[in-house]
Amino acid sequence: MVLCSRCGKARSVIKLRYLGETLCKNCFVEFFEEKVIKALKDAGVLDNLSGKLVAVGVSGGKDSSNTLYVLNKLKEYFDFDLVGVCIDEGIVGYRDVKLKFLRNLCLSLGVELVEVKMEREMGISIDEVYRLRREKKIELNPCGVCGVYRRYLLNRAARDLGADFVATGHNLDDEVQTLFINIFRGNYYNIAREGLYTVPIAEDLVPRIKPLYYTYEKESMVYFLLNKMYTPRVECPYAPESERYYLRTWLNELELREPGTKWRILMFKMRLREKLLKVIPPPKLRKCDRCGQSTPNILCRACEIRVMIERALS
Amino acid sequence: MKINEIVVEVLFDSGEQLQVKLPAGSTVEHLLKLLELNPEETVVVKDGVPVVEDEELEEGARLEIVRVVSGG
Repeated sequence: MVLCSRCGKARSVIKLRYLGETLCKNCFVEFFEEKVIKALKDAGVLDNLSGKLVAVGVSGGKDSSNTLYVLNKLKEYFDFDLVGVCIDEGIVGYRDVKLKFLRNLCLSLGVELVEVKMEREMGISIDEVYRLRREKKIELNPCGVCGVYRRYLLNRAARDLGADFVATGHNLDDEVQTLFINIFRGNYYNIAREGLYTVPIAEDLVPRIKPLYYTYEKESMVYFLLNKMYTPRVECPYAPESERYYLRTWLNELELREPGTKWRILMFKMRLREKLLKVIPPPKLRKCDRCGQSTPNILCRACEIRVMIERALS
Repeated sequence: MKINEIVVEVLFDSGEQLQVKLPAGSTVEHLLKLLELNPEETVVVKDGVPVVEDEELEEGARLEIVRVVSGG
């Protein structure tokens, strides 16, 4: 039996190669939750949570469920309130299954769950976007459409609920992958924009925080399993088509060879973002001609996509 | 089964099951290597609890392979 390298008393449940440690359940749960508190502290929101409402974007996956679960544990101590928001993108056989789990989780935690249907709000489901793409009626990347619509609807729902912050389940692995995607696209603006805490640049954009920013994806899975959150093992059927899929494998191979690689990339990303924020001025915003949300362009990205889809269908 | 061999039962989250033969004294890490799985992307669960890669495997152990990466 491999004993915990911290307390030396109980069986280890996770090996943290990048730290050279193996932790038992109790020590790991403490380690995990301390990382969340550190993320909130580094985001500068920990001392500013009292009396606030945090809208957690939840999908029923391990990361967003963990985010909801940990924040629910912290909410009494730091005196804030929580609401879960699920964007139902309309992927049959996936979203319906995850929603069932999510409703039960929210019920057991005593957290209100708000469900927003993409088809009703944006006029199309992601299943339908895929069908159009397959039939070559549109050239849009469906995962990209899903991401833009999801962010847009989550922000709008949070704003309508009067939330002070939106919390998402992005973990360290997601952040490192996103850095590479932005590098591959030459998109330094997005590197500056997205961080542990997304600075609000307009009143109608709710500040975003990422409590799992310092958490490896594997740590998130182990925490999820230890807390016995039995989510159905269904994946988004379109995930293998996402460019993240390949990046993930490559980064995890590097991490296996050189433990700590992903952590060092995240630290580099944070330093890079700090420097970029000093030289990239915040965009000049106006109101989207179609929906009225703040945007640097005539139409916000979500409305741009809506127009492209409508044109393709007309 | 040879005397210096053990057999473990492996259950994947896809529902697939396998019986795997390994040299006695093998660890979870050896099993993952044999199955060509990256420990960074896999959690091995025994009796409902995750086990670390350095854990030695016992004859007849039933192990669940949980993929860490998910798309949603």
